[in-house]
Amino acid sequence: MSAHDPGVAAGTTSKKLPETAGTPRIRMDKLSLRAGSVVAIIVIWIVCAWLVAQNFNRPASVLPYPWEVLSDLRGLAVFVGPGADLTLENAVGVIVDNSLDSAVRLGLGVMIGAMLGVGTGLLLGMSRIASMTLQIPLLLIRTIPLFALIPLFLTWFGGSDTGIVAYIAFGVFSMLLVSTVAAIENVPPVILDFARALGASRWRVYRTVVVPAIIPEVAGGLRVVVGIAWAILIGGELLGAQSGLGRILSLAEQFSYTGRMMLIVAIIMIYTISVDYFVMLLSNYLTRWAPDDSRSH
Amino acid sequence: MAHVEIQDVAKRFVRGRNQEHVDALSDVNLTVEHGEIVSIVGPSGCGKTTLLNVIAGLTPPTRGRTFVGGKAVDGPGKDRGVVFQQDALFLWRNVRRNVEYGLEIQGIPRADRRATALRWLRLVGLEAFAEFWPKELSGGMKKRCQMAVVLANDPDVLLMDEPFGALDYMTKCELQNELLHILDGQPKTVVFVTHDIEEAAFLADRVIVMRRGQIAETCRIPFERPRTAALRLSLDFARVRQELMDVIESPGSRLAGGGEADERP
Repeated sequence: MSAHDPGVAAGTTSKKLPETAGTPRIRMDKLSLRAGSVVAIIVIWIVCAWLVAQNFNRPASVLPYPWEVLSDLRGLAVFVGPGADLTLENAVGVIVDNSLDSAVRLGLGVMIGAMLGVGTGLLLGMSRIASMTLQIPLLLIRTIPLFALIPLFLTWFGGSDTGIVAYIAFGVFSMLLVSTVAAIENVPPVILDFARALGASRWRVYRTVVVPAIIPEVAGGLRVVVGIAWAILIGGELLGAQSGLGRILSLAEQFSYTGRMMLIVAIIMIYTISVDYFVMLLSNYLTRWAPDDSRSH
Repeated sequence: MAHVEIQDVAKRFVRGRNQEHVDALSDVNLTVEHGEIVSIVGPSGCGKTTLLNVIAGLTPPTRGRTFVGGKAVDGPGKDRGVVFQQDALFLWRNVRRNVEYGLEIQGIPRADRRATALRWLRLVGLEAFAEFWPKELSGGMKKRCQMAVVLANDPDVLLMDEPFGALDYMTKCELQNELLHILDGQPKTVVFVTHDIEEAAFLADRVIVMRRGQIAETCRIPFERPRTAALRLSLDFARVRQELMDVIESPGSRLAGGGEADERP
């Protein structure tokens, strides 16, 4: 910006943008559309439940009405054990106890799996030979049907907590390993050259360029993984656990408590949405520097 | 002794199963004196970027040797700073900490790093943006920031690979003026790759024309430094630029002698 440059001072004229008066209305419409979709789902549910009620002897075990599901909340107390009072207090106790058991397994599994997955990915990424040698194992890991592994983990660990945590950790590990390796391959070569030309050693380039550069892609991977981790957790618990949301879900299924199954599913959905929101906040914080096209929303 | 000395450098890229090869450079000899600004021009694919990368130590030559300051080039080093055409910035560091990157490698204490970074940011007109993320900068500002990163590292040789190629004309001129202004203050040896003939003529003491991996012509630019933005508008400059264009288009001719250098307005 030298003073001799003729273009700088003269070139700036400001133009007024047209007023955006229409925007609030469009937003209102969006909102009512969204609310409408929820109403539509409930209406369809009620219609289906009504049809079921016309044609089945025990309609509540096929598809109860929404209000029947909600009013049966205290019915969850049945999972305290045989002969338990169906009080709201017991029901809340069932939800809290089993949620905590599930959450601990999920948290441990995700943490262990994420550390191992990202760590292994970073180790592989350090060596071109390692990542070339391990291309086939990586492809195999990517294609493992996770749910088909449940019996295998049952064989190895029984229905123990260790088994379920190991199962979640393995699922998270395999997915994050793949996204970490891909993220390392996607680091633009020019930024590596730039760092090296500034005098950085290979190890420093890895530590100060590769590691931060992969954060957006790995964080995106983590968000997907945590969403799926709930499904993996419930899958593991359905088959083998002594407690947890998956366990009471499987009990509810055995006794044809359809409404209670739906309640448990709703609880899991609330957790999934909350955890996803938390991971999104975390990932947005960690990637606040990243251009929008490489961020997850 | 020359600052940069390229001796019989050749680079052959081999690819594919059939061992197809491309000779990006063959028999290149070039010396650049201390404090000289040399521009390398030529059509795309002529090997100019490869030559720059060889000097930078980012591309090992197939044959020949390169010396910088009497030392044989073997890999990249902080004595040669490279400004790339792409937006090479550390996106996860704010503007100031980008500039501090090289200083961290040198082990300079935090307070000194900060002071040096801010001084360079002031010099490129970015001091108000020190705490911004790179993504918040415009294309021209990103380029300024990249120049500050490289210059703060205090290289002996500045290697620039079409650094202003992606910018609009006004921004480009502005940055050329700034670069010359900075170099007037702290002279450095510069190798500047470009396909823009006006840019080459405005910045360089000597323009090297490359064709098919070889140095085809060498032209002296008869303007003394310091050069100002006004030079760009002078008739002399228009004529030199035209002559340079003729040289590039018709092999064999040489740029006429530089007697008019003193007639600058």
